[in-house]
Amino acid sequence: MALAIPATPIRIVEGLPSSPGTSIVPEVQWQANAAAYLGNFCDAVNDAAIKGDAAITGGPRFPPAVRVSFWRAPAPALNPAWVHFLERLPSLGVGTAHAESVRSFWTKLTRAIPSLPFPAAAPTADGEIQLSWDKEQHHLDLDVRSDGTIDWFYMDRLSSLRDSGDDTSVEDEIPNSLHSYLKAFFSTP
Amino acid sequence: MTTLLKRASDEVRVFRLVKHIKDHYPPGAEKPLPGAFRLTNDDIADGVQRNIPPLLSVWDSAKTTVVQARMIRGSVAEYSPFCWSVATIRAIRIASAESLEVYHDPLTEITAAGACGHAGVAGLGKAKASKKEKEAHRELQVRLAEACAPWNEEP
Repeated sequence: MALAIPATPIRIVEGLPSSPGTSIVPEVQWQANAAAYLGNFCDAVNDAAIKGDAAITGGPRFPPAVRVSFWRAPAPALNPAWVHFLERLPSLGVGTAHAESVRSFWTKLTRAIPSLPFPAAAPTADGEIQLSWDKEQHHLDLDVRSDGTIDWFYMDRLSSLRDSGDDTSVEDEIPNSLHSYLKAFFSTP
Repeated sequence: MTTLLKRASDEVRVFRLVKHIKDHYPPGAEKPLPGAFRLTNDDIADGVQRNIPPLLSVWDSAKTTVVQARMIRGSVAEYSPFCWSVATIRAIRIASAESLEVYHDPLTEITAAGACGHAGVAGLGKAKASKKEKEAHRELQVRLAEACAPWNEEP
């Protein structure tokens, strides 16, 4: 299982699960086998930046082809202007703890979604720090409040879909819905 | 009372002072973020107290200069002006939300030059809004941010 994980996304590795057995195996089980293979691999290399996916590919055949994809998300680039923005927040009237909440939440976001581009960012009139992304029809903004809670809003300009949430703390896991919407802003090389 | 508010005419050009635009990320950002057009808690409370729709503070450019507005706000340098025509604001329409409206709202309690040009945009929020209403207000803030332009006064 010595797979070389490339330094930049996305390399596809195709393979077949072992031991097809003698009976017809439901495709979903093949997919589960591949997912376990993927999980074991990621655990073995112990690298949180490695992402993966497994899916049945091709037409009906036995054993079905299972494509296992690995990629190593690039480390967030050191961005002096972003660092400068964060460092200047206290001089804009933002409390030190609040500024630290912004910094830690951004770190959490980039660990979960390493290819997430830097947001546009600014303080709001009420003293929250707003992070904002726009890409094609997608818009998402989120406010980091001084009490460490997050108030986010997503809209799709084409479908008029809107969604929001305001009951998350910077200490919590990123809500699934927010994580899902943020995927719209992935940077892909 | 709402009836005491006078609607601004379509051709009026209004501007809003946005704080700290020079400190936005990325450096050199040309437009404010939607949060610059969000009602503050004070805006909401003012609407409740006066029994009017909560208003986003803007200025009638024919009656107030940017310098005057900055002086009234208590800061000369920290605010950058962004503008729309009233017609542009009224043309921002989204599903399931009332249209935005612009009212003259002169600051009668102060005598500073330019106070008569204060105005407000209604429709961006209210007390006790539902989740759907809040989402509509957030979208309207996005649309306002997209539609604004830097305001450069004639010398």
